[in-house]
Amino acid sequence: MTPLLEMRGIHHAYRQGGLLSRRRLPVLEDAALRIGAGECVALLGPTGSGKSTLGRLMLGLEPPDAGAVLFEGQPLRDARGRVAPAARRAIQAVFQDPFAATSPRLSAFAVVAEPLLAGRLPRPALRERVAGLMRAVGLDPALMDRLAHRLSGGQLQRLCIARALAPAPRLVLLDEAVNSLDLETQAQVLALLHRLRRETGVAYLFVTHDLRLVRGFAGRCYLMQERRPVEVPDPFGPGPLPPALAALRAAILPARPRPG
Amino acid sequence: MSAGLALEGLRLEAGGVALVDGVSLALRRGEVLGLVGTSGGGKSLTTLALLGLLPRGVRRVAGVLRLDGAVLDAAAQAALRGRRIGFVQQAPRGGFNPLVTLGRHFRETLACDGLRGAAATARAEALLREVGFDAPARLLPLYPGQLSGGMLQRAMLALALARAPDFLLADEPTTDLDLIVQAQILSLLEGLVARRRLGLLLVTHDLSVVARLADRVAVMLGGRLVEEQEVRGFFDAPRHPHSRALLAAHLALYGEALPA
Repeated sequence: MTPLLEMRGIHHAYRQGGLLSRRRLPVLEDAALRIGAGECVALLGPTGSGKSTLGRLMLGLEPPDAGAVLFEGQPLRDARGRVAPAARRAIQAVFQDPFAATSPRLSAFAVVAEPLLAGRLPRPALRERVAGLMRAVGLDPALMDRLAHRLSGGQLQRLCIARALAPAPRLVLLDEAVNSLDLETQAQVLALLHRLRRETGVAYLFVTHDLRLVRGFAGRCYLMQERRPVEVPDPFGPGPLPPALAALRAAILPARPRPG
Repeated sequence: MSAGLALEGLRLEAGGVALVDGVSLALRRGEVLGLVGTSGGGKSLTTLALLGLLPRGVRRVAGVLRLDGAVLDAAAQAALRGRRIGFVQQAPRGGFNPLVTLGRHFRETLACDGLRGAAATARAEALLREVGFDAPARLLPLYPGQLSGGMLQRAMLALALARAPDFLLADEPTTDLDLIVQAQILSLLEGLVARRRLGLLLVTHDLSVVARLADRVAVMLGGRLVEEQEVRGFFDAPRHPHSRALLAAHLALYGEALPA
């Protein structure tokens, strides 16, 4: 079966130093990743390990230096570097900081409506659609006409999820999407994402450095190691651990204080 | 008269609405007090009130601040800020002027105590070494934008310690950092508390940070203090329903349920 998204033999490097520098820092080397329809796949790794770069390539925001990004078996970007409109709608993203991901000038309605504008719905139908999306993420549609930045961080992140779901995507990149939320909101948003996946069959790539969030949320798990994702069957299991995973596990703080 | 920094009956208002009410806290030297709660509960405002740095429009209408029993007025409070009471914020990037080198940040702060020239440089290097930089001389000519978030947070800590304060207020000091860097910063804070007998107020929404470092826990909800107790007692038997909800969300991250 064709996977929903497949990345093969990806190489990618960024220029290091000034604008004119020729030095390039390799971020990804021979990276491969596969996401099936309706799957939730975690991508773990510390800061600077290339997780977000992989996400950017998956969204088609930039082309890899080498390698293939296939969406439903077809190259994501055509020969001229364009992403087909259907694929662009089908792959959405939610990022870490909802305040950076929304315009301070837009109302909550305008934030969610933006990806729907191309559909040229009449205004009342559009408002009804936005209200439905807001209800789906547990937001009161009465908040619709407020400025988006007047919402709390947790509410605004839900709004970003509603926006990502608006074009009925097949795949959503969740790039540290719950890390800036407080504990209770984090648990609520994860439960919400879990439910939405069951209801709509959307797939997630869940990028995080916090191993604790993966438990019970992601079905499969990749770990960034030496500039490529390596699949780990059971990140919490016993047995020998890859060094990068051992570091992530060791960094998890204790659940309880030391007995004293 | 108790030794330490104490806040009694704090009430903060904005436009006639109480944001914080009836909050009393005591911070003793050599002790870590964790201040937790959902966002919007008044943790940060309480911290700013301790510093006398309330945002525009927020007024302190009741409450007394004492240092070792003596009541502090606004002028005394301003005189202590930075000297006896240090402050570390969540986002280290916002705490630095991006146009000014790290060295100049230190020079400005150290000049308050009359340290200049080579003496100031030597002191800055000693402080940076204390927060874990091996080659501090190389750091001083750099601009904040040239440092990673974790490095900046350590530099911020070094600056907060520059005038050898007795108390340190840290508002979500590790929330924006990845877990590996977070573990380093928390170990560093632990060492500083022990070595310098610092009284540390640790504001966080992450109970694993509290479990790692705190001696006592205070819980805020809706601008009020709803619970305060010793850390092990809190994790074994939280009293307030909000504390129980926070602890349940926290333990769920570890795949554990709240003890009955």
